[in-house]
Amino acid sequence: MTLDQLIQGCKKKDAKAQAELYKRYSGVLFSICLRYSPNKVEAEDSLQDAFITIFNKAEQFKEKGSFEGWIKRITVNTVLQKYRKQKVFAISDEAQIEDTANQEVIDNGLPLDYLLSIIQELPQRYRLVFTMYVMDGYSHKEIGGLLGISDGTSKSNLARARGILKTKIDGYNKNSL
Amino acid sequence: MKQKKNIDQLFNERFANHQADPASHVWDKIQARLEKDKKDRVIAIWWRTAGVAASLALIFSLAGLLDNTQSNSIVEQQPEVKNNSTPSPKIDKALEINLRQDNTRVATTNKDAQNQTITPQIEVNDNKTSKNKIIVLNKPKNAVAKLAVKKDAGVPAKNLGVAVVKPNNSPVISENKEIINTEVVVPTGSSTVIAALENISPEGAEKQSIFDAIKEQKQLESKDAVAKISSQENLWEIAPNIAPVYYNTLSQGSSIDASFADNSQSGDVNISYGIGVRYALSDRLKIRSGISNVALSYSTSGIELGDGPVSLALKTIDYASEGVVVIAQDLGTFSSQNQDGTFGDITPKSTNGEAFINQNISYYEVPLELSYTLFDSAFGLDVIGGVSTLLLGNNEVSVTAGNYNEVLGSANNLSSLSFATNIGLGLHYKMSSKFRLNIEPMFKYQLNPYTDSSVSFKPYYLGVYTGLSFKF
Repeated sequence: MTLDQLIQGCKKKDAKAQAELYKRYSGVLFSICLRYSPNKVEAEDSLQDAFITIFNKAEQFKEKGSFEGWIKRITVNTVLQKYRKQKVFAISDEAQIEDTANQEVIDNGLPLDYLLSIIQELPQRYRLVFTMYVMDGYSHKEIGGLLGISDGTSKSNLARARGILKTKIDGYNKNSL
Repeated sequence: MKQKKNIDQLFNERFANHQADPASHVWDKIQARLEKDKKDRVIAIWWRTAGVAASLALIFSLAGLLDNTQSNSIVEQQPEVKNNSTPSPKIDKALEINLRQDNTRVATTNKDAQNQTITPQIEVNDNKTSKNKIIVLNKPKNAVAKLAVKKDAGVPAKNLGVAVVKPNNSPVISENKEIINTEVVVPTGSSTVIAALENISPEGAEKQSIFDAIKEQKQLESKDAVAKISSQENLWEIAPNIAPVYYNTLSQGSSIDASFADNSQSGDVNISYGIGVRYALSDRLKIRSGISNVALSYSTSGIELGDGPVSLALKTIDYASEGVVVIAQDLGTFSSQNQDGTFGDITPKSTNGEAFINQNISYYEVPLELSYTLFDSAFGLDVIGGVSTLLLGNNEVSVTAGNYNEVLGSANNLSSLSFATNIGLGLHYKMSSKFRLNIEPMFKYQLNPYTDSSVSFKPYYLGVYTGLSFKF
């Protein structure tokens, strides 16, 4: 099945095409869900919601853009929708921005599972901001718009996320010496 | 090998081509949801079709009613009709008939001083050659029609036909297509038309059939008229209604969770509204149907609320959000469980006032019932029994505690299609021969409201259906 056939099949809600789409893209999309979620169970729930949305909205996909880009955006939006509603933590002096962009850590082959786990352990919004900015290339302005926060808060959250990650990685490196 | 790396770069690179395989149950769940969506769509289509069919039935019965009362006036409003379209093949090819209200061209033999009504004249032109003319007379005082035939000078008469328009005091015959098509229509002032075409041409054999056809038509119509008269005995009745409905259960169980089985539950009063149609099978027996929307709700108390992951939440609810959700538990569960840490993921909510779980359901109800009239004077009494088909509409589970109110999601154990048995009394008061005031207390017991047969919750609803009904 070519990508085009796959897309056309999904637009017609063809079960075979839907299964094939899942087979091809569930790995990539699950990776996104894992990075945005606090744990595997919630990531799986989000993946499920994302695919349902993709299947239901397939007919709205315009052939112009990249299909993979489109389904990735749907996935990110699905996860964000879930966590955006929650105001679970109040952070003091959010506007106080530290410059953490050039913080460096030692990478002597840090396991991917470990890196994923420390992302998931981040407080909700730190995790969302860090993942969106660093791994999915969103700007602070876009993040602010999507999460309903200011650019400054987004920058501050990013700096704090970096700080937490660096501390954890440093600790990990120290322990594994 | 030790390598210093910028944090952003580290994560960006390591996750650039990262893929992870989700557990196989994820796809199973997706498939189940797609399947459910498909079913819902089928039900929606069924529902729409049923709705369209019901409205069409309603429109047609109303149209039939209007047609009965208006057929007279339709003809009377058109004393002069011109139809130059396709000529009736039974009379002649390319007949063009003009109905006129002046007498000037009618042969003098027919002029009668006593003829007080307007005598229409019909000219028949055969293929533009004006070979024949047929003159139609309207003689209200004479039962026997006189015929006048005018021939065009110099043209041999090949086809002479006469149409006679006679007034008639018997009930209207209005739908004679043959006659309307050939333009022989009611003269002014006459409420009735019987038309007869007599053929005096040599081609009599062929023309005779017109006469026969008209006779047949007359017979058919008189039969029709009889049928119409009998249908005017107001066998149909239409009855819009509204009712307060009280929802509760006959048993102790809970539809939401078995742990709430011994909690106190209370039914709420909501509203049902709709429209009913009744058809009289006999003087006493009526068959009833219709459609209504019925809202039902009940609340369960003795619970406490907390925030926690959806995996720990009530299983019978499809949560609107799938992250951290509001979790309702039997009162005291959190505190007892927290000691051994099982519920460590749940943060109890601090709310004011007692907490309730509210289940709100609405159904589209299509009843099929029989009613039997016990007595029928100004006041009457019927006994009513039957079944209802219930199609699930709105379905929502919410929690309230003091000012706090949150919708959890929808119950996933409700049948989208279920049935109820209905029994009740119908009290009515005749306001006129057509209008009745109805008050009908009904008890409706749901047969299969839950997909999970283990749910020991036996709901019923009580409603007092009130409304006016109109006979037609």
